[in-house]
Amino acid sequence: MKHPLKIKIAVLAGICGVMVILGLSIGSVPLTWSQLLSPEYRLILFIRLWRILLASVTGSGLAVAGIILQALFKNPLAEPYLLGTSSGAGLGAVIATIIGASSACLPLSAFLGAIAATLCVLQLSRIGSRLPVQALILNGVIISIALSGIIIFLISTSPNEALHGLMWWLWGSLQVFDPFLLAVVTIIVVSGIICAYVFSQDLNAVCLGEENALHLGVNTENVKIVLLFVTAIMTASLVSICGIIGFVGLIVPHATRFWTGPNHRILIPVACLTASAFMIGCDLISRSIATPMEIPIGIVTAIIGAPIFLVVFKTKQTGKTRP
Amino acid sequence: MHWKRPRGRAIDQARVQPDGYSVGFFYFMKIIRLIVSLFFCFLCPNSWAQDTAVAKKLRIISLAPATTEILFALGLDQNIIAVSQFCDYPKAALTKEKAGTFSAPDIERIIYLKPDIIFCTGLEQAETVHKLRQLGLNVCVSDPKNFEELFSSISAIAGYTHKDAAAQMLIADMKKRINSVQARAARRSYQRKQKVFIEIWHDPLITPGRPSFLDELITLAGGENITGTIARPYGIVNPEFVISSNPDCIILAYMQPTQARETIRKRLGWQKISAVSHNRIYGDIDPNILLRPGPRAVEALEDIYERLYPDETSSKN
Amino acid sequence: MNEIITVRDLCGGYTGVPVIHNVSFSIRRGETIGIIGPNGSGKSTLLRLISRVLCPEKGEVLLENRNIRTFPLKEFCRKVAFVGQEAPTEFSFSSREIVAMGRIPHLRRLEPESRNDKDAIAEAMRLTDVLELADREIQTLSAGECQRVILARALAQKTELILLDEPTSHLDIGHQVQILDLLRMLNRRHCVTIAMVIHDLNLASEYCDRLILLHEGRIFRVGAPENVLTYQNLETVYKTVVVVRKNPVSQKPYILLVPREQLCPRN
Repeated sequence: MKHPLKIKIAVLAGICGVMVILGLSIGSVPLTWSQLLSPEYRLILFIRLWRILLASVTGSGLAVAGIILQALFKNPLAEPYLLGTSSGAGLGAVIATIIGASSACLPLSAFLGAIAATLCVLQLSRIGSRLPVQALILNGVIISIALSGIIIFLISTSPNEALHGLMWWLWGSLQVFDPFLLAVVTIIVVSGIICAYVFSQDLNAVCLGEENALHLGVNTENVKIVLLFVTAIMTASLVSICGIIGFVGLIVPHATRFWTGPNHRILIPVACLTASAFMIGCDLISRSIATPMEIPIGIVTAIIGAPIFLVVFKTKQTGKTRP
Repeated sequence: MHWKRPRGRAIDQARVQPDGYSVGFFYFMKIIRLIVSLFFCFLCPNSWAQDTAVAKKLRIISLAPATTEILFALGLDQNIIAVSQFCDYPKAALTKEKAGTFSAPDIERIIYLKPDIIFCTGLEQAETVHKLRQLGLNVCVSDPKNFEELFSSISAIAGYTHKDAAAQMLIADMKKRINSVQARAARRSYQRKQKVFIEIWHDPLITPGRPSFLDELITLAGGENITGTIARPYGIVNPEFVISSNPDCIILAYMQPTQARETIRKRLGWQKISAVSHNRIYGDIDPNILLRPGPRAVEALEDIYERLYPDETSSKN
Repeated sequence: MNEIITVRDLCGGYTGVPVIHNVSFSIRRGETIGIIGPNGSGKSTLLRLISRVLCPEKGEVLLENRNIRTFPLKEFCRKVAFVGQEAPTEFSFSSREIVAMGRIPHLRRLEPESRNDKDAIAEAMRLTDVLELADREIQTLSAGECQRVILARALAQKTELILLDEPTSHLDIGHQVQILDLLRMLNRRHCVTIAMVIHDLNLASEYCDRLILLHEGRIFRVGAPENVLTYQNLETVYKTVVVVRKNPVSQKPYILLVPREQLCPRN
């Protein structure tokens, strides 16, 4: 059993490495490696590096958030935006644009909006000190829909044409050129992933059911609060700078689980690798398929992700056991 | 280096009472100015050479179609190294390298081309401007909402590109044509003002409001924008409002002319509108000149005037 | 300390509504105790109050003379294991992974399995005869195999007390006997105390040293099967006519149902 797993991980790491190299060498401007590394085109090199880093961080962050929520809710359709983070971030950004704040304030207001929405969902779902899963899912969906409605209302009745320029992040964008923001978000996401890995034993137990987890010594309520907080912060920070990139948080956990099994101690690191490779690949496609136009990354992840998901799901359904 | 878009309401162009002397004097001064500038060009080859040398060194990228037209009108053809995909006028712009679409610039290509200045508009391209500035590029934003702001914008662009003389000529020419239209409209002041409805999109029904360029064009042409009470540059209007306002003519300003006049005629309740019953729906003005705040705006003004007063045009012919 | 669990004046239930009223009893070390009673009498509730899933409204549960709420959760789980009805899970864990989770109370968060843990897992799987199912996914197992795997998980926990909630209800008689024989073996040979909620009165009679008969949330009778499983007790609690005989092999009480038409034949 160990051998195939190690080989799989090695192959994945190899694919990831290839993606990074392709990502650096392919762009809308054809450059040779010597040109790219020369000081003259240093800025282009940095742009590509930043994009690859952000793709990797975003993919890993969303995938791990998806893993956490799928385990906590024991629902295969759980994904990072379930708790209203995406709509909250959208509302924060729209309100900031309406009141005329500069573009530099958008990430912060989106972040605050996302956190506010998630806190709202958590507070609505709380019964005493417990956070029932059904309530979380329902309230998450309700808040998401309500906030989306408000966003559309504001966009359609607002005098501000700049709102039309906000459409970019409805479909996601990895063009973030602020090194400070990139650093902050990378630190947040990496900390979140490490935290999730530390709790991998608890996540395994929670998969068996809350009562069974309790019988194994895992305090499910504490685990839920900590991990939901971690997921919320990770997702909020990612949405606030990249916009809404769907599908990654939903499919990558399933696809990885199919290859490595549901043990979170292996699942979390491998999912990070898979998500990185996937996102860098999608980013590559988004900026090289229709130059000079750039297809928003959220569209590419959806178009590529949907068939992959269908294949994975179909294969699972035909009842193949893990090799 | 950032030039801020001037705020404040447009000052209505004062209605000039035309008389022979002032018009004559105006043309005289124009000719004198032209002779003087030519004279100085020949007499001071250094400064001229320096100017053109500096101008030649400038590498410009324009991501806004309107600004591209202004740049070409100022004679900066050789300095423009790239434009956006939608910059299609003049024809020479089509031969320029493409640096992305209006809303999604090709950042890598822009950096690769090493521009000295990048011109953008302020509103829809706000994110673009922010990103480019973060990368340390020099971005100039212009977003004129009326002719006065347009002239300031042209002057500012000229200031950056050392084309003050060309700008002055362009502005003077435009002002002359505007004044001419205004004069003709003023001669009709005894008539009731023509009510105009401009349709920018059909579903939902989008129309320009008070602070928009189109509203000013209509006002200068002697018409009345029925949706001039809307305080926003663009707004969605209820079809019932259009029917009850009963405009005398309808002008279609679609980015892509998809809606045939027939379809408008068939709209429920629109047959009662004066514009529809008198067959005064005009879809033949190039939407690009209507919607771009650039040098061709005066052409749009003249076209609108001709649509408002077709009898004057036909009688002339 | 002969008594491993002492229950004193316990009142509790699910949110708001008390199901158990003033229940007091104790479980002695090394015995097999069965909790029986009709549906809704509070058997599962009682078990969950003892296993710390539910919080009592009044009274207390003591483990080795100490209130169970004062134990850190993992320490409690090193002493008490629970075998419930496993709901089918979305996640395709292998049998070995499920059994390995039984070692969680003994492991810190990032601690890998030691030799000790691996031995405990292997031993548990050997005892429950699920070694050949080690790599099969839990979702592909039959109900009986699944129940054995869950029991193996509880065994891997290496606790002094195992609580079981109807461990045999979905099994055929062959598997029922298999599981209960295994529990008996654990009880006799490895001194594991067993407390189980059981539906089937005959199985309870055969395999339990003592029985607690619950009626409407209160203890009706406690004692050896011969004393508890009398027709008077059963008819009062279950409200149905029964006949009690002796199992000719084991001499334990054996309950026979009496259908209604046998009581009042139509003539």
